[in-house]
Amino acid sequence: MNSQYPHHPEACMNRRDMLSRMGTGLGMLGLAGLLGDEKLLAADAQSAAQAMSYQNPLAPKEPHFPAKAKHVIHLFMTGGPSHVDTFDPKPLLTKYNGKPLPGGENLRTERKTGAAMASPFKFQKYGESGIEVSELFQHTAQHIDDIAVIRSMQAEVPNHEPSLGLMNCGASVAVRPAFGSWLTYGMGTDNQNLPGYIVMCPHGYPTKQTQNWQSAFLPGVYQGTYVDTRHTEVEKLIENVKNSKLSLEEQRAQIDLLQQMNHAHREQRGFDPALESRVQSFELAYRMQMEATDAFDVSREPKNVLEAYGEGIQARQILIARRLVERGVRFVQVFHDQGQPWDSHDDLEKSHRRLAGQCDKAISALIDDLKRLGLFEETLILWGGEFGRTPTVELPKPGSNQGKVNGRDHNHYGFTCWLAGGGIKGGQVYGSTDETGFKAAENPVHVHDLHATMLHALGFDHKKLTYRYAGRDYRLTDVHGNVVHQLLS
Amino acid sequence: MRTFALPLCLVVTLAFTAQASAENKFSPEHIEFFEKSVRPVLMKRCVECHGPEKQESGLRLDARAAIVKGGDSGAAVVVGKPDESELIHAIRYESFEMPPSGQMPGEEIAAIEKWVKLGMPWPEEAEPLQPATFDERLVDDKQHHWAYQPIKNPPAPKVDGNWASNDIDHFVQSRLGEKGITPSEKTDRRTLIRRATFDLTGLPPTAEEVEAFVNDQDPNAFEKVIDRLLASDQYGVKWGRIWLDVARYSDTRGYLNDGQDRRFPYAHAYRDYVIDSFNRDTPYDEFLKEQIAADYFAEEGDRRLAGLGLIRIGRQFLKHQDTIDDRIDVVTRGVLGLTVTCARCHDHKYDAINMADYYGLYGVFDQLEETMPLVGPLDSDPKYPEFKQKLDELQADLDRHIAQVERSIRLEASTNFFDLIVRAVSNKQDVEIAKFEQNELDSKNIRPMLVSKWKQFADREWKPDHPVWGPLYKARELGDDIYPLEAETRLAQWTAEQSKLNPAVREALKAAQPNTLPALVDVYNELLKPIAQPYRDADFNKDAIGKLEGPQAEIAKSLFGRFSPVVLDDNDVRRSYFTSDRNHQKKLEGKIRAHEIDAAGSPPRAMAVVDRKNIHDPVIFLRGDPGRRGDRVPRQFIRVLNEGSEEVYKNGSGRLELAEDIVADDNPLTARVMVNRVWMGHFDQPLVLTPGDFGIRSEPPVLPLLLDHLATYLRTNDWSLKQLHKYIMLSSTYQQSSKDRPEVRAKDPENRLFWRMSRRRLSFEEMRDGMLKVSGSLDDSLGGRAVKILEVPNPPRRTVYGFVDRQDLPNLYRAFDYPSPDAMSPERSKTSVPQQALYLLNSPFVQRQAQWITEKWKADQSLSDEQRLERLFQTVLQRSPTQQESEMFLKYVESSTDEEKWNKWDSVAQVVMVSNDFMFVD
Repeated sequence: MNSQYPHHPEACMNRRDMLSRMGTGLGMLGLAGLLGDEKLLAADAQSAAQAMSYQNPLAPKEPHFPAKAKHVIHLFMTGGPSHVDTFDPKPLLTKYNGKPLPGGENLRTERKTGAAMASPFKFQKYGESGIEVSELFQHTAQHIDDIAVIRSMQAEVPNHEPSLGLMNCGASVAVRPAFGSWLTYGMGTDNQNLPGYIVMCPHGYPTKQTQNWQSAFLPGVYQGTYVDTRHTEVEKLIENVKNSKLSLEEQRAQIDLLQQMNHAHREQRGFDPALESRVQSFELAYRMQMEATDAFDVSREPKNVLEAYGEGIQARQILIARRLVERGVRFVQVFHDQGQPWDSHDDLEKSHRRLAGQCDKAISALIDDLKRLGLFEETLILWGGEFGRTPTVELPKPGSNQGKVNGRDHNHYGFTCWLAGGGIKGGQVYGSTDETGFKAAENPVHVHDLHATMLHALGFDHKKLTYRYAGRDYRLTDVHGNVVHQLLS
Repeated sequence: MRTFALPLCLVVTLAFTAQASAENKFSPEHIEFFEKSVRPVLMKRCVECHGPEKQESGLRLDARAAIVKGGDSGAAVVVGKPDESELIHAIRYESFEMPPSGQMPGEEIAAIEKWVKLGMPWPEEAEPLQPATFDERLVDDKQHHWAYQPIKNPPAPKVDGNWASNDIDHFVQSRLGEKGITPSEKTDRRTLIRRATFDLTGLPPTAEEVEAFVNDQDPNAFEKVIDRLLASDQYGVKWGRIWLDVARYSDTRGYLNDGQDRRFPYAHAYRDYVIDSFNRDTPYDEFLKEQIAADYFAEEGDRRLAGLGLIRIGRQFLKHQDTIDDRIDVVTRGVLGLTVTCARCHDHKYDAINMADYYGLYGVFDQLEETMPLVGPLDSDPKYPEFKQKLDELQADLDRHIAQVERSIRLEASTNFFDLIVRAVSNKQDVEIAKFEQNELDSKNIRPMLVSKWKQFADREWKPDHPVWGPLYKARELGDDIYPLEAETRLAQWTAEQSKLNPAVREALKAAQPNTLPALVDVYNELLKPIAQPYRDADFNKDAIGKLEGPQAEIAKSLFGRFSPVVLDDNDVRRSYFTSDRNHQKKLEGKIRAHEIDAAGSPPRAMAVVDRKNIHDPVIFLRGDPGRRGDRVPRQFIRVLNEGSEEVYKNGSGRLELAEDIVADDNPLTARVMVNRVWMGHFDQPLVLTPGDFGIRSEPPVLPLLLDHLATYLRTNDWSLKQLHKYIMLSSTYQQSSKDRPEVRAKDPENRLFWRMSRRRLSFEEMRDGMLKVSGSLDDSLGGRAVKILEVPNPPRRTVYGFVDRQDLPNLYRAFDYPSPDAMSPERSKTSVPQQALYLLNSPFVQRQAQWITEKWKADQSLSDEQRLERLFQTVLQRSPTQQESEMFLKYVESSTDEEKWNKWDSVAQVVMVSNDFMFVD
């Protein structure tokens, strides 16, 4: 276990650091020095953060080794997008359309499936790499040379909740911290004026709810901050971010009074970093009000940028993701919608077309935009769902898809995710499914391997990012995970 | 104290290979030094990863030659030169940090350094070091690990001066003296009563209480305060909540994919039981016994049955084994401070706890049935009759639905022979059958369970020459495509005069000449329907087929005989449910549950358990996988705590025996773990830094004698927690000032030796309840169902009564370090983040409390601003403002303007209420 990551939650700084910071009068930092600042740039916020790292568990920390990626954007297609309709073409399905797949019984999934179902979507080669992508993601495909498509993903069971648990928290059943919690625990966050781990999902929670971004046994501060992007007013996005009684100026005067009182209180008591850090937290809160308002307000973007992302909630929340990363937020998760929208048990053609149509253009714009801002190289993008879908048609079942034979069931045996950006070698396909698309064949990549690889891209040895809890050192990948070095640049 | 020498009997026969050569002749003293101080360290700290089993980084540390040779990064040791030896750098944590689990104690590092300096003395024998076996570890840990040693009753050390008030102070002062530290002066009375009131009730004192205490000349004034607070029913609210952290309390079950209400029906009964038990000062040993085994000694209607909620209140996991694991965890880690669940998949890596220990307890907690006994009179609520009437109606709806589904299932099984048999016989994929049906026949929803009954029947009973089923057997064998090709020949054989087929079957085939498989099945369909008629008419009583005669009787005998696909037992019926049937049943069950939860007048019930009737010994699940069964093991106590006893549990599941073992005199952990927890509640830090882990990797307490003294005190005072609180609070140690003393801080920066009181921040509950108290709006009534305190109108009840949804724990709770209710929580983390400040600055709740404070006097024109300020400070902080404070506040008041809905005094009140002065306890 690395001594950088202490065993006890309260010991967020080691003794040596703490002693070296004694008596530097941190309290002053928050007062006069920052009054009247109109807008703090991320750099200022960062230096403030470094100065107050005592008891601030979100202060930026160095990873295990230098790495390119510093932020993560996880585009979560909740419900399970069909790989054979997006990034993993299977001509065999056209050949056997309506007939049983060669090779005997279908693999067991959640529900019964029948004959092969051809993809209703056209595939085409893109970029220099010539990787085939379906028309659903034709805009995203413009960037295929920057994307590493993993066609041999594997999860453990064909059900949403365990698979969401696995993809988000590295465990199907047990209650474990989310990837974003682990990362903010390991790296802190660069901008103390915003939460380090932000989760967006319009209209309510995705399936499995807040467990998707739980910090579990890690301190509560590492839990994802949920934002309902259906709203556009910032006070509805982040709890208590706006004072309904006082203007910012009046509130500043109120906080000044508070800090004077706190200061006098401290003078009587002598050194106590806990008092100091609470003083600081009010300064941060004050600035967060402005910073958050700014970060979530996409109307401040120029017209051409807004147009590039397109219309609708998906476009808006993907653009917000970029604005957050730009401001130093460590981990941003974008869930497509509440529930499990990509779960096309029936009417797949219609649903998938609609869903991809909502986000394809914005994903493409995101990559462009990150490049324009020089952030692409330090932002790790993950696209995917909790599993894929069967190449065979789902059989009708009373009570769910009765009378319809035009969708696909869940498939954890083989599916596609893609990575792009920081530390990723784009323009490649890694691994494959068998010729039917049912099962990972070449170079299977378990979700644990994906996590290990992503952590590596972020500068962490997944075996060493640990936390002592209940007598044992836990990690995101539990006792599994192999880094797939071919995916890394 | 754990010594670093292992007894010789344990040292696995000795070490060393070949070159214990001539040039390395070590003196007997040096060899003895190696044996006593070096060998045990290497064995304990190094050999597991650098020995015969594993060679991390290519390095072995189990033989001298191997150590000299080194590993992947070169020689590990430069003989005679510790400062140049990589091994020494690594254990000093200067290069590699070894061992990775935590740095070795200073004595051990010094021993290895000395050993290298001496030229690495090593005896001249064969065989490298071996890691200790489990049994060896067990004996060794029992003998040496501090936490397993019997609780002593150490005499209080003598100390100088008159600082000490009771024996606690003797231990503390004596230890401080060793470090050249003197304890701190007594704090002032206002601080003391505020500290005591928050510590015991989680609330601030009133200004009047403070004033009375400050002016009380009685030498026992503080004792009277303590007695008053311990007698207050708010004591149970505060300390009950501390226990609920351990008990992973939640009002919801967690995620279960069953469409049911997620709320536990009677979680609150457990919460109320806990609070009540603290208020009654139930002896701690009894308290534990009630929570583990109340059903062994309490009758229906007894409040103590609610204690069994401890077992029930955890998350209901999708995998049953995880739910049991969580029960084992809450009892072992919560009560004993042992991480037993580490032994679920393999023997514990550090502690002498193995899979047999784990699965022994698994057998205790796995074989339970969940019950909902009364914990008071059935009709204790006057609205009970209305409640009962509605409940009966809902129950009748459910019964009707179940009866109706059952009837449909039995009817289909004895009517729809075609649909069922064709699926059992045909090898076509379902999709084609579905198409076939859509075109040819009425589309029906077929229950897969009934089809598999037919498949099972066919597998077991059908034979090629069976007089009834022979043709179907053959057709099934040939399959859909081949049967039509051979149908003609086959039919000729079956219908021939000499055919041994049942005459009824023969005649039917002859008449129909079925040349496809479905057509063949259809023949049977027509044949079987009338045969099942008497059974259907007799309300599915199989005796009714007795009236059939002749060929029909022969068919019936088989159809209703062994593996009958028609006669269904309850299990078959249950498994034949369509999802829609089950969903509707769940909906009706959910209505009953919701009625029990929501309606007034529901009887006082609790969530409890009883043992199953047939109890068996558990088997080990190899690697934790229930599919891989290992040895059968007895149900018994964890052996490292079970002083050589081979006793196994015989009484039911063994819960009572387990509870008795837990509170037994010879178990040193239970009392130590609890006094450590109580101490933490008063001093903000425990004596043992890991309250949930007293195992091998825990750091021993810096005040081991004090820990034992307190444990003895608890046990010899009838396990009374109230007496323990009082004893601790009457000590001078507790009454110290919290003021910083830089020169002492340099010696003990973390106040591990308690040279002052540690200042602590209010917990989430104390903060919210405290604000409600000073605003005058607190409803401090006890008990009842959970309320949604975060939703408007924000019921002003104490926070412990707020609804805790483990599936959706509010961000606010987490932001203020409220623990995850998904597992036993030994201590809360302490973080300071801007979300906390945002809440205090901007939330309507906090603003409203500020307004309620000022409401009483802000408009009173007879008051001066100074007087207003005085009132405000007295209300919130129970003191007057200082000169400096008066100036800054009055200046603010003068320079601010009033808004219509928000007075400048509201702003001021909010400031005082969210200040560090309010939010910390000195």
